[in-house]
Amino acid sequence: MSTLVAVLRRAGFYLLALWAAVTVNFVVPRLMPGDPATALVGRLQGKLDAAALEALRTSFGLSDAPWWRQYLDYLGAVARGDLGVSIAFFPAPVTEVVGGALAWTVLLAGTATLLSFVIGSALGVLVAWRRSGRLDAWLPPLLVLLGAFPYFWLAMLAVHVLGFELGWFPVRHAYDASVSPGWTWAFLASAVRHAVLPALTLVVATVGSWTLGMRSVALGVLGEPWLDHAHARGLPPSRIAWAYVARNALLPQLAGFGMALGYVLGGALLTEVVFAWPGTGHLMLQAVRAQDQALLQGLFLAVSVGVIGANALVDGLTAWLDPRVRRAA
Amino acid sequence: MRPVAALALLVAGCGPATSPPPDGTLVIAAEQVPTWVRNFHPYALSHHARWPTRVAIYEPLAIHTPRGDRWEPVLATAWAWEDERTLRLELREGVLWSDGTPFGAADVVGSLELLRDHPGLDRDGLWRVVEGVRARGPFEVEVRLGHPHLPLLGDLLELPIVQPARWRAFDDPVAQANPDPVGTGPFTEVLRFEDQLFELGPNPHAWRPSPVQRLRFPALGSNEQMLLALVQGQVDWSGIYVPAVDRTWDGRDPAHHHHDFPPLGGMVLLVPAAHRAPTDDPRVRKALSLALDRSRVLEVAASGYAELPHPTGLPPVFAGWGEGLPGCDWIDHDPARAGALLDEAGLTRGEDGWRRLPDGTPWTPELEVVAGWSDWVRAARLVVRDLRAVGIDARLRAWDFGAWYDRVPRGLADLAIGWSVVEDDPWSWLGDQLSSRTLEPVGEPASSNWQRVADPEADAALATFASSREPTVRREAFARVHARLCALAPSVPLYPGPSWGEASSRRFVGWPSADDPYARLSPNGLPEPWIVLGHLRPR
Repeated sequence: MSTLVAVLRRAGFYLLALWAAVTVNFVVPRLMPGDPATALVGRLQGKLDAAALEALRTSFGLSDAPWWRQYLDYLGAVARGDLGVSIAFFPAPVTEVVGGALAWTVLLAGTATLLSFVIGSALGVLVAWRRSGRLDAWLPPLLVLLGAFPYFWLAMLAVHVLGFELGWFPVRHAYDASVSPGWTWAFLASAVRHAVLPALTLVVATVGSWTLGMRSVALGVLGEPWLDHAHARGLPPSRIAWAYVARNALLPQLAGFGMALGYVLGGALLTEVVFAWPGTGHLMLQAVRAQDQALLQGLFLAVSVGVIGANALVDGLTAWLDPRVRRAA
Repeated sequence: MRPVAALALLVAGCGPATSPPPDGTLVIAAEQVPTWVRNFHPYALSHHARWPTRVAIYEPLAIHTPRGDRWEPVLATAWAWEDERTLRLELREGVLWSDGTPFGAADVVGSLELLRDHPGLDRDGLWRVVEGVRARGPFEVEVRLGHPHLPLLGDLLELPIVQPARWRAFDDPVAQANPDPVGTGPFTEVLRFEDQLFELGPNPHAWRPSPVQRLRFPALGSNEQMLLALVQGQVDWSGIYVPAVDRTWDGRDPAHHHHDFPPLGGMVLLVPAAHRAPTDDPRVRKALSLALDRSRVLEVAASGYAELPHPTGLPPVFAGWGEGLPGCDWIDHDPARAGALLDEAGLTRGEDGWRRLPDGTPWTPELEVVAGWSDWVRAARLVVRDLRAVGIDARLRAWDFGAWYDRVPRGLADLAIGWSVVEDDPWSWLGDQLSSRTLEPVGEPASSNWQRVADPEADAALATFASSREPTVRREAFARVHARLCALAPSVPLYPGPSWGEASSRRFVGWPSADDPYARLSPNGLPEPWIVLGHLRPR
């Protein structure tokens, strides 16, 4: 019974968070100065007849209704799954524009985030286990150094050296022009090959923070008295390291991982710009430039839902990993 | 180290990282977009519809190129004014739509009527001038104007022609993506359409078939990616700004890499607020111009690609019109005269060396630019430096585009770097500078004339220019407007903007060049690239 109450309370909390996110999504794009329709024409450095502009404003769904009216309409539309029409990609609906990009972003940023978390955390346990060893002396500083490079520069360097000069990797797009998306070996091989370089740069840039985080938590765990007990009982060191130290140290890391996973849906802006990746980060840049309120709202909504969903997932994962959490709930 | 070995295997096992485009496929990078959205609407705003819509799928009656200020007949073979209000169009016979149906006068009449019934499609406001349109024969159309207005011709001739019945059948022709277009152009068949790439195949019924087999459009979202694709031989034709183009592009393959940056784009202007003191005084505006060292601006801001404005202040496209006209005496670098003019206008230097308003209050104008438009920001820095050198305490203010565009067109900026649109007819450009037609009240956004100058004399001369068919009368009226332009200095020309174009002749030949200047190489001015497309053939 108490579990049910706890789950319901959690669900209520997530619903509240979702409402708050949707409201912020509504407010923020409207704080941008200027009128999206006129800015659209201005950006072309061209001209448009005044009557045509007025007619287009109506088609774009821009309204002069009072804000509360617009807000209620927006809430209703979101509930129906209608995110409006994109101004930058008129007359395509936002769901269509975001949908296509979301798949590519999840593939790239999702995989990279997962890889970075797994590799970084494993390395963190490793260096903590062999603390003050040779590995511990040079690996964490090296990873932090790599992470401290401006990402843009790192990605450009990868494109230039590995892609352009050596020609090992493709430097743009998610698959080769000679194949079309589909469940074929040729396409999948091409997609994997195209993802390697951007994913590599993302992992290199972010792995250090996971390693460092994991290392410091693991060091704390290593000082716990029950570990001496485990050693004394003669458990093999690898089992102690991975099943005891790692499992305990992972808990605080998971919360951060949940957040990172949620932000994946927002896309990796710089990666996508450098590698011409057809993802949501690039789309968001485009939406901001075009003052495309509907598209921005759609993208923010995807990120909000992603963060909230990932948090729910991490909540479940934590409960599974840590019996104390289950009992407390 | 195992992952590294796996990576190496992957690299070694797959051949070249990027496969070259197939023979006969022309690869064009003209739009800077991260992902493609399928839209082939010929009347949409230019970046809503995909680039080939007005270049390869739909065709207009005729196409203008600023190179030599020339018209190329397309669906019309001849056009002439019968009187000041009647335009007669003769259409091309034997043209078929890509669905096999014949093209004729009814299509031209129907396309215009479609615009009349849907104002959202009439981007140039043709129906503000047009009174009626009718077919005189199967290949002859008469357009009747409500009042004499010759500059309409350009907009009318470049209007894409569609199949009216097909468009009338759409629920809302304005909010229509037109995913499967039917046109008269050389490439109408959508062979594939994906997020990052689309391809068009030839129109089976083309009246002017192209030896190019297929057009390919990769989605590239940045200048850097486009340049990289060009250099890698993955793109044949593009229109981006390229820094140090001789080294980064031409120099990599001098035999095949070409660029063409003619000064035939819009004019880059310094826009003063002429509705507000002290820039309401023409002497002050002229002083601003005389203070500028434009050759430095060209060198630093335009990477040496642009040229000095003509002494007449007219964009190079209108050089023919400006022939024989006296230059304006303020398009020059002369700080001493600038200072004298400012003194004369009562803006004398105070004790601290900065010029003050006649009532003694400090004058600290802000020059507003778009943050991130780096060439213009560089130009603005030099402008501010030059103004300060003559004692004007000017400051630079950079805004995000949205904020900037919310201020400058409303006339809220003291000074701004702005653009001007250059079309086929000088009437529109001149009107944007100093006519009451383009004047909006301060606070209301104006599409041009941000300086807010309206001159009755210029209005009268412009009206004559627009309504007379007599060449001598037009020339005389043009000279009168130009004299007012010189007298008032409504805005200060910085430099005529170049139009950017790069192409590779490794796989396709026939590009416009200095030896064969039939059009601009730039793919950016629609629908002009249609002319270029017609000259291309595989090597």
